[in-house]
Amino acid sequence: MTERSDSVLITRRLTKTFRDFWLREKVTAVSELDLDVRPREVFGLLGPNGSGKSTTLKMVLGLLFPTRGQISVFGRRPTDVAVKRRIGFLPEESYLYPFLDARETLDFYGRLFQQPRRERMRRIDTLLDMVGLGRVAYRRVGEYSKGMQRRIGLAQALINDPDLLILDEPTSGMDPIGTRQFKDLLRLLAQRGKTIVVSSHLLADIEDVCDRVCILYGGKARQHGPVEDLLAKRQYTELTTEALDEGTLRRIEEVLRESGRGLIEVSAPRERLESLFLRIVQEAQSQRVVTGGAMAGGPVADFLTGGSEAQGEQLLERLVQGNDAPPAQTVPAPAPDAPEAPAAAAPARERLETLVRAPEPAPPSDASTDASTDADAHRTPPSAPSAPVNRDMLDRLASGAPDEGEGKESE
Amino acid sequence: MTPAGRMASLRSGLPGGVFEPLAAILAIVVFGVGLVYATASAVGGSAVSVWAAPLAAALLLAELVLLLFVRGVRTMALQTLRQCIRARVTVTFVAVLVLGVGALAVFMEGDGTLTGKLRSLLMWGTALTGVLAGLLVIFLSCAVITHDVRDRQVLLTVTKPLPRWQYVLGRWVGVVAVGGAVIVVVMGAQFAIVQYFRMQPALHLADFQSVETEVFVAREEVHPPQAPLDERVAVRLRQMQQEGTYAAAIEQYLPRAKGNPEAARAELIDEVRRQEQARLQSRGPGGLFEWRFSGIRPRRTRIAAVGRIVRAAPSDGVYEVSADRALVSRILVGGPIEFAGVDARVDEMGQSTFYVVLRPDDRARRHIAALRKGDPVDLAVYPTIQVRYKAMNMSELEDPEKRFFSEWRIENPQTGEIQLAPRADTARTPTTFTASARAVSADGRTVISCRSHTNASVRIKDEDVSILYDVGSFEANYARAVALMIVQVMFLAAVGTMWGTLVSFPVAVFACFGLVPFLWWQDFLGEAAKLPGSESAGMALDNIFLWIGHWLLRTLYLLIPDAGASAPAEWLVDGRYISWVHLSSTAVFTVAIHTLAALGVGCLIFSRRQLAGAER
Repeated sequence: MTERSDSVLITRRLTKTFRDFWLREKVTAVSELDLDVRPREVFGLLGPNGSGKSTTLKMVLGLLFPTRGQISVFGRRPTDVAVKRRIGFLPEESYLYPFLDARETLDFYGRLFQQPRRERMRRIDTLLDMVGLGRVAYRRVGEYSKGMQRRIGLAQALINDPDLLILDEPTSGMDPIGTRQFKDLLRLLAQRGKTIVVSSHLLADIEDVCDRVCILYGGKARQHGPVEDLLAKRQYTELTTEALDEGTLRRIEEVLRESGRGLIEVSAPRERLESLFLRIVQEAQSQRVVTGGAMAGGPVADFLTGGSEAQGEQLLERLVQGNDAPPAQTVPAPAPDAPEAPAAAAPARERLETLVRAPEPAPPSDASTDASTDADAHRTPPSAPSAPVNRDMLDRLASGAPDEGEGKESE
Repeated sequence: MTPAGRMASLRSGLPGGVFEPLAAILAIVVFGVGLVYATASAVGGSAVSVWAAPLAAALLLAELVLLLFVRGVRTMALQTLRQCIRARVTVTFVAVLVLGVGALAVFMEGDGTLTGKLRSLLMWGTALTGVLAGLLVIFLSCAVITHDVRDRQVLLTVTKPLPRWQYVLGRWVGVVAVGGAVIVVVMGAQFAIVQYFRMQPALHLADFQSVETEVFVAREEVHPPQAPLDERVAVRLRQMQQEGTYAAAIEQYLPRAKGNPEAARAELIDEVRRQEQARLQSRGPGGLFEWRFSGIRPRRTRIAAVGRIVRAAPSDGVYEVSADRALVSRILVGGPIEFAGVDARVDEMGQSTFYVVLRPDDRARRHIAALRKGDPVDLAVYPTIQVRYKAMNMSELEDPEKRFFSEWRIENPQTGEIQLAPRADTARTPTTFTASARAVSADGRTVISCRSHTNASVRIKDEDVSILYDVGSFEANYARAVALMIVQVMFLAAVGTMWGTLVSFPVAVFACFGLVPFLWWQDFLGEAAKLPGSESAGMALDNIFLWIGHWLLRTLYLLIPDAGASAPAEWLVDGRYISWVHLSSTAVFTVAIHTLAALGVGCLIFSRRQLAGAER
């Protein structure tokens, strides 16, 4: 992995061995790990339980000391207090003081950042609204559900408007709405220039939000690179249109045959369970059904969006309503009553040729170097739906099965 | 600008991190000053200036205040305070304390007198508060960090911009605040209770007077100088050598000294010294004791009040007068009193009124002759001193009540004024009687003699006779007693915090409890682990464990303060003055040296500790 001078987080040959009482080696949780997290990217640490993700993050945070190797965060040692001012951390469980209420919790962490009282109070209000706990702000955190505690945990991680956000299993215990909002928030924060490191074994989380990932197993990096590169199946093309009749399908098959390609699968696309769930909850909320739990999150805290709250709000609204920007490799289905697109007037063959043209191949990458290029160039638009088949590959990688040559071998 | 505003402006005017290096530097200075003071006290003893301890304590106080300006420490302290106040253990302890002090007030009777009840209340109430507050502080200080680590809240806290030393000190400050608050509240309640009982009727006049002059006071105690014994011991030893009994005596002590002749000689000298001391301090029937005191500084200002004539017999020059408690409690029957500007004598007294007898010359004075029932009258009495002694009968007393009959004479060596006090007090029991402070010369000297009117031989040791005199108010003394208790709590909290940075909660609590006996019974344990013939050069192999224990104990005593010596309960019960020097000196030893050392170790451990283990 090449070292870049502007990297936010660098680890070199990072190794952590846990010993027992007699100083005998018990387990090597992390071994010779090289990481390079760049500014403004969402970096994912992926791996099964016990693969060393949390240990790595704890070393980055100065909670554990490496047995060997170096860590640099913003060019300094992780134990440096100045570094900690720029970090927000959400551990794998919320670890909050159960006797404090939500406001007191955020107030305590705000004080640790030495924020002036007025500013602290303002941030607490906006963060509580953002995570949807404004109405239960005076209830003790110990009485919260796990998901509500995660929300408060997230709020405390954001109270200092961190430059580097470190999230360990961030969506565990969250309901789908919270998870969705959380992912949206991460994308928004990344757009606002934050650097985010996410550790998870939930593949969907990583896939949806990360620009680059490092897949760990047995404490070692097995593979890393941009998500796009790792997941892309460049030998296939996926096409989504309005429902087609048999004749059209046959014609398409003919066209494909003429061009020397075969049709592998024809099926009606299914709605994702996440979308269905969100729609149902949204309907219930619009009917003002009473709930004692967390409400839907409010607008993103303005201090996190650099003051442009309206922008963040609009973005979230758009995301939740599903009016996302078109995904990069799919064809948007026009609404039934929408006017036909101009391209529809062109002959069917031409149209198909245009549509089935493979995207520009990725530049050849050196196996000995990091597969990623500029993070922004590969960033997936927020909430981009992903091909279900690609999850299989991530699952395979995460479980340590041999890969198919996609992505890059780790150094 | 308000003080709070000025403080805020001061804070905002200084760079955020300015207090941190200041606090660190001052902590080192305070620790150094404390060590210098301790060394100087050990080497120089009383030669060390009385201002040294208060000055060192002032530095210490400045350090503690400065710590509160360090934001991380303050934030953690507030958090700890909130955490502890909401903890069940705190609520339980406070409830037990309040109920305990309340139960003491209701059920504690002492010896049946009001003085006894009040002394019992002060004794047990203060001891109970000290013990329970100490236990609470041990539990809390061990819990706050260990539970944070166990429940992993520490992962969130230390990943914030909070240096770990600030985390540890903040936890300590918070626990001290809780312990201090508990002590202040409970001791405050106890103060209210004793003040309530003070207003209740006493059993009799002496009871009432001893409440006011022995309980609600702050008295300094002076002992007579020890009689020189060295010369007498040398004479006896020469005598033994001349008589040829010396070698035989040494022979007798050899088994006890494990065959070491030097140790045997030391034992013999000790025994001769004890015998000579007993001879000096004992008298047969009709014998006279005499002690010369110096350095007594009683208050010289007279206690003045306006009394009221209850009954008047101007022709006989006798007036029954009522006055407030402060004055009545200082009146001596047969003693002098200033009545309407003339010297008079108190003839008899009840609990609220007393009879004044005027000299014939003064009876005819116009302003006195005009006094009638209900008229106000100016009164003034001299301050008093108390003489405390304990007589040990060396043979059977003939009195069935085992009383020691004696006549005491207190003489002002400057003016020659003499006060006489015939006494009949129970032998082998400390007894106190009152005399006028006029018996003390302007340069602080007095001579006390006691003639025994008992059939038996009686011994009064020099250390068993003393003069007590008022030097301060009970209220201020009580406040200093509370401060002493808080000082002790500071050390206990530091020890708990230190262990909490290293081990789990049960181990930390166990380690703290293991330390408690060494804190409270240093003398007793030190005596138990004293080496036999430690002055001697030889050491038998069978004493090796005792030797190890002895030196371990000596090392431990360097690391911990002597809490037993500064426990305030006995001081309050005796109405003895807790001086600022004593308080400062205790604070310097306990906090500036031992507490800071424990906290320093705690900070060091915690800053090097990994706070997350392998995944569960």
